[in-house]
Amino acid sequence: MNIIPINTVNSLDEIGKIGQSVLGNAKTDEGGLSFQSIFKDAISDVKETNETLEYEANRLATGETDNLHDITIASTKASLSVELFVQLRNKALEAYNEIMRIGI
Amino acid sequence: MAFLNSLNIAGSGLTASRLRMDVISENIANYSTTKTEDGGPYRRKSVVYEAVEDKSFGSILKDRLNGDQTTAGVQVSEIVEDPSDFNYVYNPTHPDADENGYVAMPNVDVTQEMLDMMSVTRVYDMNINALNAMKGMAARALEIGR
Repeated sequence: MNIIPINTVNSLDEIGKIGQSVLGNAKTDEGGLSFQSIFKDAISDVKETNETLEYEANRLATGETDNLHDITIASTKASLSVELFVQLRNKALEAYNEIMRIGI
Repeated sequence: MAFLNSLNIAGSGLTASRLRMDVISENIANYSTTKTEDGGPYRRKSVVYEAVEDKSFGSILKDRLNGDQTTAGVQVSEIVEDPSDFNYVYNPTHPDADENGYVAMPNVDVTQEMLDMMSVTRVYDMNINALNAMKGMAARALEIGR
C-alpha cells in the first residue's frame, strides 16, 4: 500500500502575498485617499485653528491688537474645521455601516 | 486648508479699513492743533494702500502644495502727510500767532474727513458681507450629501 507523503500546503502563503501587495500599494500611494489620511488632515486642521483662536483671544485680552475682527475670523475658521471633521466622521460611519450590512 | 485661507483676504481688508478710520479720527481730533512736536501746526495724514500676498511661511507652503493658488489681500504701505498749505487765520490774541497776528491752522477739512469716514464704514460693511458670504459657501459645501 502506497503512503502518499504529506505535502506542505502553500495556498495560504499565496493569500498572504496578495495581502502584502495590497498593503504595499496603499503605502506608496501618493496622497492616498484612504479615510485615515483624510482624517489626519482634518484633525490637524482642527488643532491648528483651535490654537490660532486661543492665540488671537490672548492677544485681544492683553491689548496687543486693536483688530476685533481677527478673533471673530479665527473662531469662524475653528467652527468650520470642526464642522468639516464631524461631516467626515458621519460619512466614514455611513460607509462602514454600509459595508457591515453586506452580510456574510 | 485652502478654503480657510480665503477668509484672510477679507480680514486684511477689515484691518486696512480700521487703520484708515484711525487716521481719519486723528485728523478730526487734531482739527485745531497749532503746536506739534516738530513745531508748526498739525498736518493732515492719509493712508496709502497696496495689494500684497500673504507672506507667512505656512500660507506660502500651503499655496505651493495646493497648486499655485495665491492668497491676496490689502495692506497699508505708508501713511503720508498732506503737502497742501496751511490755513492762515487772523487771530492776534492767540499764543501761537506770528508777528502779523496770523495763526497757521491745520489743513484739515472736516467735511472731507466726514465723507471719508462714511465711505470707510461702508467699505468695512462690505468686507464683512464678503466674509459672511465665504463662510456661508463653505458651510453649504459641508451639507452636500447630508
